[in-house]
Amino acid sequence: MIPPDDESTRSARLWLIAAFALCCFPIVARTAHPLDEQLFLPITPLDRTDGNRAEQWAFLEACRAHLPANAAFTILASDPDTAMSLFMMSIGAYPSSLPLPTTYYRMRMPEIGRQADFVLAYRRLPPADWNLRLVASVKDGAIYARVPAP
Amino acid sequence: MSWPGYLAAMLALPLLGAGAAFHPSVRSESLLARAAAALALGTVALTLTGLLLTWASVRWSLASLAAPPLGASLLLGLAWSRRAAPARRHNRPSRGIAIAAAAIAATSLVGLFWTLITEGATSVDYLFFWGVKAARFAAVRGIDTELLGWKYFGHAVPEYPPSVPILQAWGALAAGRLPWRFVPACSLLWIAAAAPLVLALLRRRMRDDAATAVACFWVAATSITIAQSYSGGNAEAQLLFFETLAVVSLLVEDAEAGASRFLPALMLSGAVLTKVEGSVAALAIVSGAVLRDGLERRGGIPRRALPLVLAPVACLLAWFAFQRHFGLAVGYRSHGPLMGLHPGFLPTILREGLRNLDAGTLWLSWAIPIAFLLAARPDPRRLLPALALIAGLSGLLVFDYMHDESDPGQRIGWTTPRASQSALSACILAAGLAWFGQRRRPEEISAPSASPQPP
Repeated sequence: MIPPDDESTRSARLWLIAAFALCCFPIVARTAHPLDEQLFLPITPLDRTDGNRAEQWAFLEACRAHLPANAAFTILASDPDTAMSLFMMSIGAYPSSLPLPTTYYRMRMPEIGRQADFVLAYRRLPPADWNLRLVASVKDGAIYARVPAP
Repeated sequence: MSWPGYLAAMLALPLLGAGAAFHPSVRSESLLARAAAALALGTVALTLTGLLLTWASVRWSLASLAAPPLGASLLLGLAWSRRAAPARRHNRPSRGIAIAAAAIAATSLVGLFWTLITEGATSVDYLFFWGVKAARFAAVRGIDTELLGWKYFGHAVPEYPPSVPILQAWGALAAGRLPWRFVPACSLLWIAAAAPLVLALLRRRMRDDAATAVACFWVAATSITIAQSYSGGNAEAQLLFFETLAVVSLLVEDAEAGASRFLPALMLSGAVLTKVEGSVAALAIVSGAVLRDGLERRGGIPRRALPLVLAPVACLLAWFAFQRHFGLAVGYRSHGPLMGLHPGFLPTILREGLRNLDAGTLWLSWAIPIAFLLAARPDPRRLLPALALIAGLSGLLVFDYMHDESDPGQRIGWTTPRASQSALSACILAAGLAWFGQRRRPEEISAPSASPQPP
C-alpha cells in the first residue's frame, strides 16, 4: 500500500471542505422556502419552474381524454405567445395526433387551423363562424369538434 | 405507471455497450468506472442504430434497437478481452477522506435527485422540443423525418443531433409512453455514472485521497449547476458526461505513442451526437490535445490524433448523411448570417455572461478551482485539452450572442448557465491535476499483465 502523503492529504481535505461549502448553497436555498411549498407534489413537469406553462400543460393533459388518437387539432389562445407555447407542447403531448397551427409565432394562419377536426380553446371562446360543437369543458378552457357541413 | 419501464431502459444502456468495459484501457478499473465506459458505447451505438433503422425503413422496437448494439458490443468485448490490460490497484483513500467524500457526493446527488423529481429543474426546452421529438419518434417507431422537415416544426431545431430524442424514445418504447414527469430525473444518471470514471482516471495522475477529493468536488459542483440551470430533461447532463470524460481521459493519458485513445474518441463521438456545442467542444478538445502533444514533443502525433478526429467526424457525417437522404436541411444553422455580428453588444455579453456564471454557488464553483489553478502555477501545456475546451466554449458563446439583433441579455441568462457547464467541469479537472498532479506515482501503471484479466 502506498504510504499517505501528508501534504497531498491536507490538500485533499481542503478540496473536500470546498465541496462541502458548495453543498451548503442548495441546502440554504431550499430551507428558505416554506415547508408546505417544498412538500407540494407537482402535477406537471413545469410546476416549479414556469407557472404559466405548467397551467398550459395541465390544460393539454385535461383535454387528452377528449381528443381521439390520430385527430387533427388546433389550439386557440388569447395571445400569440400562449398559442405558440401550447402548440409547441401539444406536438409532444399528443404524439399520435396532427397539430395544425392557427398562429405560428406571431403569424396568424386561421386558414390552416380551420382545417382541424378538433379545436382546443384555452381561456377564450372559438370564433362563432367556425361551426363547432362543445365536446367537453375542462379547467381553463374547452375542447370543440367541427360540425360536418350538411 | 410508465416510469419503471423508462428507468429500466436507461439502466439497460450500459448493457448495450458492455463491450467497452472489456477494453484494455478501462478493464482494470472498478466495475462502476467500466459501466460508465459501457454507457458511453451503448449510447453512441443506440443512436447510430436508430439512424440506420430509420434509413433502412425498419420499424423501431426494443428488440430491433437493442440487437445491433448488443451484437457489436459482444464481438468487440470478446476481441478486447483477449488483449492485455495494465494492472491497476483498487482505490484506497484514507478512511476519513473516503467517508467525507462519500457523504458530500451522496448529499449532492440526493439534492439533485430531489430537485429533479419534484420538477424543480425541468427545462422548458424539454417540453418544447427534446421530449417532443422523443414522443413522436416513439409513436412512429422511427425518426419522424416528415415532422423534422415540416415548416411548422422549425421552432424545435430539427437539425440538432439525434442522440437525446433517440434515447428518450427508447425509454418511451419500454415504458409504453413517455413519462413526462419522470424523464428529467434521469438527468441525474449522467452525473452519477461519470463520477466513478472521473475518479478512476484522476487516480492515474494523483494519489487516492487527492483523486477522491477532486472527484467529490466535481460531483458537488456539477450537481448544483445542473439543478440551478434548469437542465432537467434536456441534453446538458449527457453532454457534460461525454465532454468531461473526453477531457479527463486526455489530460491523464500516457505520453507514450502506443497509449490507447479509445476512451476519448468514444466520448467525443458521444458529444457530437448529443448537441451542436458538442462538435465545437470536440474540435477544441482535439486541438488542445494535438497542440499539447506537439509542444511536449510526443511521438506519433498524426497517427494518435487520427481516432480523435475520425470517430466524431464519422458520427457527425452519419447524421448529416441522414439529413441529406431524407431531404432535411443539412448541417447546423447559426443565429442569423454567420458573419452578421453586432460587436456593440460585447460589453453586455461580457457583463451578463460573467453574471450568469454563478453556477448556483455565488461563483465559488469557479473561484475555488481557479484559485488552486493559479496557486499551482502549472505548466499550461499539460492542461491544454481542458484549457482549449474552456476557451473554445467561451469563444463560441460570445460569437453566438454577437449574432443577436436585439439586446442578448435575456438569452444569455437562459443559456449561459447551461452552456458553460462543460467549461466549469474542465476547469475543476484542470485545477485538480495542476494542484495534485505534480508528482506521479511510479507504481500507478505497471507492466501489462501477461494474460487477460477476468471481467
